[in-house]
Amino acid sequence: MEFNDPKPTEDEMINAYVKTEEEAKKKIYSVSTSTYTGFGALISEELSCKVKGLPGVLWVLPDSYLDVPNKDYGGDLYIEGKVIPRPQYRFTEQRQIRNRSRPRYDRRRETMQVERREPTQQNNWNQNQPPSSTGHQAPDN
Amino acid sequence: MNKRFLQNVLFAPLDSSLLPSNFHLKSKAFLIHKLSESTDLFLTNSLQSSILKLGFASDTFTINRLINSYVKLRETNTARKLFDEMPEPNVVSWTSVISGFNDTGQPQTALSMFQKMYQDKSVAPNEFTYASVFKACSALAESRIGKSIHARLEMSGRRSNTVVSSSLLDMYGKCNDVETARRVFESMIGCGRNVVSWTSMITAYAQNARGHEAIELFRTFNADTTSLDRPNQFMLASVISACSSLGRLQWGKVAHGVVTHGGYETNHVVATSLLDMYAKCGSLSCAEKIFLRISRHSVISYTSMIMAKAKHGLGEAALQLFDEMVAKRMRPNYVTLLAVLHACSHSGLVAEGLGYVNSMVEKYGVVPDPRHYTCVVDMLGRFGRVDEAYEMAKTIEVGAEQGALLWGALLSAGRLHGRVDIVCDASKRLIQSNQQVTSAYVALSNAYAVAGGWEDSESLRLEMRRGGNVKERACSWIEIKDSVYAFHAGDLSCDESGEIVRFMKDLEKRMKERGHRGSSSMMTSSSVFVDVDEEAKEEIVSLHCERLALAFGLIHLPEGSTIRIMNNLRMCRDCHEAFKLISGIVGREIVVRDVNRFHCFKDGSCICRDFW
Repeated sequence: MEFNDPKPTEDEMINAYVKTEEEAKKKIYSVSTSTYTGFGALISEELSCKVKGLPGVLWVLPDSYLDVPNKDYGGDLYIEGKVIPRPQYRFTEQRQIRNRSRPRYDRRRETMQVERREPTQQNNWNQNQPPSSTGHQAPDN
Repeated sequence: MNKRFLQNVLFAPLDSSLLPSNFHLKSKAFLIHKLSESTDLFLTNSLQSSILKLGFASDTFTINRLINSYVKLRETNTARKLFDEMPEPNVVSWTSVISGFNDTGQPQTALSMFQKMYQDKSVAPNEFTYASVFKACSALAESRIGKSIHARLEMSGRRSNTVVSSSLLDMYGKCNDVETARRVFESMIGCGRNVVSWTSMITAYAQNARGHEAIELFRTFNADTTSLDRPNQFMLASVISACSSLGRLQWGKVAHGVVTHGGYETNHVVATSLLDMYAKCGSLSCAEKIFLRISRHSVISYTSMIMAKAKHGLGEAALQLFDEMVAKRMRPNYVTLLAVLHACSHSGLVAEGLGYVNSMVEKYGVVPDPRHYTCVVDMLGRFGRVDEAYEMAKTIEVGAEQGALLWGALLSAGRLHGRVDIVCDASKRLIQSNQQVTSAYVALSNAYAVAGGWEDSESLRLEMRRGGNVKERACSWIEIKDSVYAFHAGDLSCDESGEIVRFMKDLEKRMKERGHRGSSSMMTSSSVFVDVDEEAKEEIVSLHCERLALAFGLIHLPEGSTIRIMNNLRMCRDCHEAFKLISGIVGREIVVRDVNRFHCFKDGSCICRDFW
């Protein structure tokens, strides 16, 4: 049973937690302090329920079920107590507002609301429309 | 914007002695550069006058830029006027104006412009034109026009382009034609699929109540190690909303994990869909956690939270949130008001509910529609004011589908308060409009039975069977780890049935010790309307699907964890009583989502305060 543990705690706290248990070191497989502050560990479901209640723990979320190969989605590798950094993809809101040389039309305002007919769902409310198209203007000098 | 600023911004470089000899081109380039940066209408106006004065009024390229600038500022009328005056509009001009109409919520006009363009024949639409046009069709959910434009697209040979195909796919999805959308998606392998295409397909599935396929596609997308694309915030939001509609908390949590890994936790779109998912899957505390961590709230996040609290029976808290939202100067929309009415309805705040529906228009500018009135009818009915509910229902003009909800609500109210007359009228209306016919027949049959007319009841059931109306089977399901286990009433065909029955019998013993009288009490025996003796009644009731699901959950879920059960019908009184007791006996929290709302059982009581 695999679980992932993002927490807003300090790196030192994580290390302190790990140092107390040799077992724990073996079970932890990834660590991150940049994109998020947390670690991933292989633990049983019962233990994950107990961890939920600890101070400083924000979320305890399962890592499996989506069959992602190599669990390769974020975080640095943590093998035998050593942190092996991997290039992190950072999503920042600023990226969306690039200084484009060509004018663009898409206004991706996050609160754009669209009337949608949904015959089978009852309590739906306006979903944000994914960007399906953008109008490009080719410079025709 | 003052004159000095204009001097500095616009005219200084033109006076500069550093200007090279190709003065003409330089100033055109300069104007265009300024236009692209302009976020101010006044500045754009001034630039327009400069353009005219410098003699660029008939230069297509420059005017295109000007049109684009106005479109960005949402001045579509001005853009249109400029376009009309152009001697030689090119494909870029047409596309700019069409997109402009799209973006300002005028898809109909965008489409008519496209028609003109097509009839004009002087300019051929390019990929971006088609993409904009399909976006307009999506907004209108117009599949007929969309299909004919699709035909033209195929004939033009521009189909193998990722942007066009993605918007075509999206259009079919929004027009509820998921099969065709999938065919478009499959055909895109040639021209390449990017994160936008995948997102459009996932969204098409999610928004057409095919959540399983949406998740399956998400899995496939993630499993492709050759692709460098990672899920973006829009894909994640769609995946999470698919989990919401399926009520799959574990999958939702996994998606949350992906969100965290990708660093999207602070994104508003994602956060609101997470909130909604936790609320719909019965984890109100997680929903609240997400809500509190959102830095910049909007109508959507507030509405989601209000609805979540409403469905969990926390009416006063929901109304408080509503007041908070209004105080922050956010305008409620029709869904917000619907959530508010639900809050009043599920918590018995009848006076407040009536107040809201009567003042909606003046205070918030929202006109109540049949859904709002249905909520009020439901509320009045639940609270015993059935006559008022009946009167209100009769005055509302509804189509067949919305009428089903309205008269269905009245039917439940009538049954609850033993009003055979109302039950009969409501049932007949439902049967006539061919909506929810099965439950109408059942209600009618039960009403006759209560009145003692067993023959009438039985003949009605025969008629039902002859007409092929099968009663919707009561079903409960529970999610454990990766799988969902569904239980039907009285169905003990699974492998673990022996263990479940033993567990339940043990529970019943402990319940009886605490004074639970089973189904032999006066109140509860009326829940079973078939003419059988008491002992058999007890057997039938004890095998209710929610109890089976509960036993299964108690056996398989770890100690101390919350049990979450989903029900397709309203929870019956017997089970509600039993669940209260069981939560106290085993010391676990039990959350049950029934067709209307959530019940949270803890330490012997339910959050609904026995009012549902």
